[in-house]
Amino acid sequence: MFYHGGHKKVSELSKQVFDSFTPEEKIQRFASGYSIPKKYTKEESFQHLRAKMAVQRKPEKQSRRIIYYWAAAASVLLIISFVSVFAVFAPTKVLTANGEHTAFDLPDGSEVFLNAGSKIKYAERSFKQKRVLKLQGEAFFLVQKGSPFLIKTSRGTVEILGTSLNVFSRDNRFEVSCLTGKVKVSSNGHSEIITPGERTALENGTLVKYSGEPVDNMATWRFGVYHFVQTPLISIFDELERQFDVKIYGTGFENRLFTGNFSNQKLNEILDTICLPMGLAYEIKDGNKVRIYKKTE
Amino acid sequence: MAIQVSLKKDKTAAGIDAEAFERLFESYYEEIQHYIYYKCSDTDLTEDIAQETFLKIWEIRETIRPETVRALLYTIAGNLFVNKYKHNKVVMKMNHSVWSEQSFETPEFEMELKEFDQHLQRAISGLNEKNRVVFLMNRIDNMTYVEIAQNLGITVKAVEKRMKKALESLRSQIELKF
Repeated sequence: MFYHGGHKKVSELSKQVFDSFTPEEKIQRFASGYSIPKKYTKEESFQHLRAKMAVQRKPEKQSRRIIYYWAAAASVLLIISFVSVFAVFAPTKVLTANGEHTAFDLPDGSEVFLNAGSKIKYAERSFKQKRVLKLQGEAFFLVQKGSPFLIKTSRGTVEILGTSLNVFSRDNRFEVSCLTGKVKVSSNGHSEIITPGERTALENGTLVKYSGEPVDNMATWRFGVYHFVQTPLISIFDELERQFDVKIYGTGFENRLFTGNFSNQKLNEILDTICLPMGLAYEIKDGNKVRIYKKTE
Repeated sequence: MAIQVSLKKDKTAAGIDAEAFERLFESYYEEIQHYIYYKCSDTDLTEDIAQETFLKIWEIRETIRPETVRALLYTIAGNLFVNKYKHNKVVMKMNHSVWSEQSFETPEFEMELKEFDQHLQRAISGLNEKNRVVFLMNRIDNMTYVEIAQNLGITVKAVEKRMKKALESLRSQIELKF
């Protein structure tokens, strides 16, 4: 036998056996051994899909009409003033306000998912030739294969040698997680290469590498899921300020650490989860201010 | 074949959740990729359409009936394909397990098989699209005629016919050489 049943296991095929087959048998049996070339591994495809799933798409018809209006408006503007031609050379900026996420494609087809309160700048015209962008805040990238892809932040530079990763750069914190492929991170003249499941963070001025984190736990903000492990309450409140566009202030949470998960919950549910075990209480004022204080029995 | 067991679990509920969606991806992503590849032999386009197909399913997940989702995947992928595909010549570039799993008695025999492989891939590429899809779903994805008929929304008789036509055409191509 050439192949057994459904399984594509080849038993040694001799010339004698092959010659004994009719042409139809040769075709049928040989064709069962084919496999199909793929652009990505199944895991990579799933990562890509999950990233897209997190972003609600607008109904197509509506957006198409808007594009026509914009196109009309844009052409009128171009005719009236050629000063605007210079605007083309200005870097493109994409911003998210607090409480807002966005997703967009770069000129080379790479995809960016921008977390709340973040900013990306790049040169629209030359991006395809030179893939460089500046990031403030946090973003997840699905990078198309091709020339080196550089992400510059105030604390360090990320060079992508693969396909998907998360970059966090706010205040003093700089952290990069790799989901697929390979990433090179440089800061202060030191560099680290990280592979899937690894992340590197800037600590006291040097990059420290961590491994063993499940890829599924990384960059979960895209799905509204947050994991905190021994994280200062101050940074958790910072994150909540960005996600819900509120101000959080008060006392009793300095130098304290929290471990826990949140997924697509309301602000008061999350605050309950944090405050209760920490012996804290909160009150929400004017819908957008949160005062935290020590619970006194 | 093991796939159908996992689907039965969902049968009571209308709509699917994230977990069921992940199982759907696990079960059917590859066969949808294959379905599109059989039509166009373009890996980039194949990946695009497979992604788009599953994204569409995700967007309408609340209205999906799990027992018909597999055929729905094929329908969506097929429609997307019609919209996106610019008719280029199909040139299949498939790998064959014989090259990785077997050693050959003589180099001459290896050459003969290589040549057979090339001729067969060329002949498959030259098939009428519908016949090619059915033939390869049967051969590569190990689907029965009944499964193919359900997935493509055609009758079993039609599957038999396409299979027969594919084989006839391939045989006439191959017999010239072998």
